[in-house]
Amino acid sequence: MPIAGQVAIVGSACTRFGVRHDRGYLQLLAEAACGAMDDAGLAQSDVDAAWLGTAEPAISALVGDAGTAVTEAIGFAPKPVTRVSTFCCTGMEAVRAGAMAIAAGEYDVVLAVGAEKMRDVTPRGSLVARTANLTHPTLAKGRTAPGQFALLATRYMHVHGATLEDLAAVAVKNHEHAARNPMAHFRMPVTIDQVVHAPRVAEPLGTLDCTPTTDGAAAVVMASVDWARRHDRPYAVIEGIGLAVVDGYYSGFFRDEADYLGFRATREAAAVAYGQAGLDRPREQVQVVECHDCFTITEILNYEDLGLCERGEGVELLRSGATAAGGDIPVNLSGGLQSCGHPVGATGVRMVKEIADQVLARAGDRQVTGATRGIAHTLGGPGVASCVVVVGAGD
Amino acid sequence: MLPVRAIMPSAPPAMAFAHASSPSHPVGSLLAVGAALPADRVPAGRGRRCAARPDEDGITLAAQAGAEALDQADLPATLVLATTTPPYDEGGSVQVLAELLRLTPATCAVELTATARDGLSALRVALALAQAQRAPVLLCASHAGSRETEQDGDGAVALLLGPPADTALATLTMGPSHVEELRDRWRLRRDPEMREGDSSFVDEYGATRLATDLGRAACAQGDAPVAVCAPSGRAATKAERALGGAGDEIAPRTGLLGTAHPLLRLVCGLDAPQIVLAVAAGMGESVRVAPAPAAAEVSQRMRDRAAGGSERDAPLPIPSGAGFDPYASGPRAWRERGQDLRLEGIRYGDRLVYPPPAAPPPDRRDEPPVIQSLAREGTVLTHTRDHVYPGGDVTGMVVLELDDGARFYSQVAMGEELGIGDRAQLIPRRLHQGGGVVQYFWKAAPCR
Repeated sequence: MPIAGQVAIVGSACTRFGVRHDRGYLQLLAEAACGAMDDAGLAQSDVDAAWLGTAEPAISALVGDAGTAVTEAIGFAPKPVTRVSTFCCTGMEAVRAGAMAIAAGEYDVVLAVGAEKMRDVTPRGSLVARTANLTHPTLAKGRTAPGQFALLATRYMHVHGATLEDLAAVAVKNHEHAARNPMAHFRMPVTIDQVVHAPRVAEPLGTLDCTPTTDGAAAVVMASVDWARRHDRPYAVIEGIGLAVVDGYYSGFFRDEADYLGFRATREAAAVAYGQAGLDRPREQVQVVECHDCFTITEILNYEDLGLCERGEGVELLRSGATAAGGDIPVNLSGGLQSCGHPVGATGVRMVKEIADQVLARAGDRQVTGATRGIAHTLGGPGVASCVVVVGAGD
Repeated sequence: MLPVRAIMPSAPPAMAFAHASSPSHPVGSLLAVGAALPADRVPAGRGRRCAARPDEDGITLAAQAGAEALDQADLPATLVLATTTPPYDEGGSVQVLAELLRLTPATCAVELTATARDGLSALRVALALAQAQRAPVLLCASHAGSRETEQDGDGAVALLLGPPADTALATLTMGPSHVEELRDRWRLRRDPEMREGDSSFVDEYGATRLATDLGRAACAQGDAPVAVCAPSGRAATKAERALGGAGDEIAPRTGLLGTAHPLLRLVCGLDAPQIVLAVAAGMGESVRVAPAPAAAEVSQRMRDRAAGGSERDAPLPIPSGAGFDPYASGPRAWRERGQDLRLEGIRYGDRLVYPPPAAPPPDRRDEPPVIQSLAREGTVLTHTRDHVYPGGDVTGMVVLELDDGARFYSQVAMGEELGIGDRAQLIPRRLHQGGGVVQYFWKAAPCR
């Protein structure tokens, strides 16, 4: 059975994202998973299988290294749980895996939960230092996540004339959005001046161009559309979902096809998801977007790679105000990764929940009036993997 | 009990050199020359000295010099490394150099690491091997001791040597040698610092006496200006003047380059016949240099390089490296030595792919892999300066479009800056030290 239009999102939940010293990994996972089941009006016994998205279990002492963490956290035995990991696409990949199982007819109801505990590093130390020490002894040395995206920022500014103020405008916009999201890590507004003059992390990116390091979890419960109708549940429907993996973690930045002005993985994933959903003019056909703004430059590149504008026109789209709240294609009304933070395994699930809430008209202060279709997008690797989901309103 | 006078010589023992009559000194050709002198020059007494950046060492300098000497030359059958500052006290450093120079696994590799005289000892060995094997020998001599001793500079010189030939830059004929127990500068195993002998003893009985006597013995085979190299610049100058020379004009520009210094003086003096001497720790070597006219241009180029560089108040500080303890694996380093050190990719049709993929693309499954070394020059596509990477205070990163079409993503060499569109070269550098090994890799620097 084709996946498009067959899988319903019938429940979702998200923990508050932030520095959660009050919650351990399993507690965050349980809060999100049980919240999603409560939202769907279901108990563990009603759910047939689960997928867990956790990208880096070593951070939390290997808890989350396998699906067993879900079993331990919510009492799910003996049902099958599978952990998935695709860098920053991990959470959305958990959603995709669960959705495929529903579409295949194997299960009636599944849970996809993403959880990451990033502010409790084991052993103590920065994530950057951990990564620098553990990754490839030559090919990875010198690379950091901000450093890799900074390469695209430098190139984009050189080719398309974007400025530091343009990059800062993404942070300003998304922080302003986050003021209306009680689950976001940062909810205070920032100014262009603050962003531009913040300490540099990887030039031209400064601290306020970067997503914070955050703990959190999110979950969705999925079922077949038929099941949702039969059980009279309100639901959003997955109209299309595509995952594209175009290279490996170390090799991606060495490939000669990369122009450092965007990400092929996003374009490939969008093509799959849009094809399933029948989208050919996404700017006109969707009303809301959650995209992977791990760094300010990434959101501008995403506009182009997701087809919201032509390549090279992302900065003009930003300047036009179209992607801000009240614009004709608002992007990251949740506050995005810029303000929500990026607990890697949880992010993609949180985005799917955000768009599902929009098309179900339950997004609170962030609601886009009349929204019937939205896009959620993650980018991982960095840049070698991407997942795009088109979520529409159900019946 | 005998009076002390009866058992002590009343004067320094007569040298009684028999070197002049030796018929078996090796003779060979100087085919090509390379030199790597770090860009930075820092104050040293009345002059200045070359100061390596923190990511340079005796191996990276030797590799840069060796690569220049091998440019457009056939690969040598033998590699000889002489360095007073080997990164590994035990276990060898020459094998890293062989990989960085992309020599074949069948290369005979030799390493000498004892004294500042070893540049000329290595030359003797290299010439003998070239003569015996009738095949080229690459000699690399390097020194990176500027952070340990105030008079020392850092640098490397490489000579490509062959059996006697008419087309050579110069004919090199080894001259008298000398050995006796006399400590002027030494370091015991695990000593943190260099030890030096009493200066009055060292000057009178050490370098000055040895060099003067050795120089006279060498000149007995035919008079020529003599260049003297010794661990003490003062002693070397005294000896050189005693032999009628002008003194070392290179050292005030570069500092004393340890075992590379006699070879630097050799290549800087290729515009005229000369004898080069090196003495240290009771040992001495000499070589007679008879250059061809074409060598004058090489000589001028090397003197210009010694005089060049840019002034700094002090060597670039070594980054703290706090929190940086990178994973290392001996088996991985061995498996991936081709991509790490030899900079090898795999060519599929018109595409050169780096790092080499584990399996060929589906449409190339039936083709044998074509391993190809990447070009070492290219153009900057994009860059950043990373303030959070723990390996350095600020780590420059760059993506290059290499001239052969491959891409390379690397660190910028310490102390260098690159911008979009700049021409850049890949040079071997220390990446870090972790897990008990030094990790060498390629970094980008402006083309000069």
